[in-house]
Amino acid sequence: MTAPSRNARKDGEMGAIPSKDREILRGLGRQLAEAAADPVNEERRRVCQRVDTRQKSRPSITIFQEPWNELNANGELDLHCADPFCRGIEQELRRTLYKWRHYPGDMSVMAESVQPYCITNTGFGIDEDVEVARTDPDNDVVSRHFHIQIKEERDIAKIKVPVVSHDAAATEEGFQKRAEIFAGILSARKAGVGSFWFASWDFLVRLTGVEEVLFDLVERPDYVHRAMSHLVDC
Amino acid sequence: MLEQVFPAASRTILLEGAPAQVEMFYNQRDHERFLHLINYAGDKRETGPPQVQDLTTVHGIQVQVRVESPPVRVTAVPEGRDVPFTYRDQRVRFAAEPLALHSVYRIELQP
Repeated sequence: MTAPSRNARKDGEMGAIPSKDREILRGLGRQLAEAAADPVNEERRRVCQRVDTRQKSRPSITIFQEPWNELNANGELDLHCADPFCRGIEQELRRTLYKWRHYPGDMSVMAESVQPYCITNTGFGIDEDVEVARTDPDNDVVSRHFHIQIKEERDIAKIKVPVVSHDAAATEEGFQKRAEIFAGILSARKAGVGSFWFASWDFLVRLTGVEEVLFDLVERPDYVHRAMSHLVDC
Repeated sequence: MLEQVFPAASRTILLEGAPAQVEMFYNQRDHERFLHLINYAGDKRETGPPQVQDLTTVHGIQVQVRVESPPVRVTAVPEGRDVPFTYRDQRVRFAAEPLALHSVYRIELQP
């Protein structure tokens, strides 16, 4: 929640749909529709449902957090659309189809294009101050050295309550474009937050320092509890 | 396979009796060593919130940590409870207390 949501519209992101982009996306949409028609989807959903409802079952298999920068050996993941909005959809589709073809595990797909609500937030009022070391410019996994910003009790108040807002016009525009692009191939729908990932420790240590907060857990546990309590309250 | 690529004799820390969800951090500061044990009972799914269904206390973890000299003291911190230990073959050995969620052990070496 520290950065504006990726669902947010950027200026100029949604213009008219270029015809070439439309054809590219419709081609990918047909591949997704074909995958969605495979009966194996229902079998895999049943496995996941049994696991989620704590029934006896084999474990469901999911593979994620892929090193996408290392997987594009044959160009399957190359993006060809020009429009930023279309490129976003194209990347999502290409990655989904890549996964479906090469390592599906228990993944299932549906013949739909989902427009997320365009939700933004102001963040916690403080973000990591960091030096980054990269070994691969195409890899978004990097080594970080954090500059400590929360050292004492009084620093905890630097963490603020985020302000969340929804750009309804952008959501509607994105939805209409998806409906237009995939007409007759995929259904379009809007969706709110399907999953919420808030890794409180991952965030807090970027402000306190990783090793420092481990020592603080031993020597100033009340201070760490107050910092964490304030963060999760925000 | 792990034994082949990273034999137990080469490891700084050995845990016996610890299920896969027990994770650890190890820090050093001057003559102190700190071992954190974490009972990570939640799953790690990409979509949807991780589900923590049970926090079952883990009993019977035996710890070995390779240190360069015999420790002066091992304590469970921040409470400061003394933990009985033995030392041989450059390893301090002790029984971890029942691990509910998070435990930390301070190993103090000769300054």
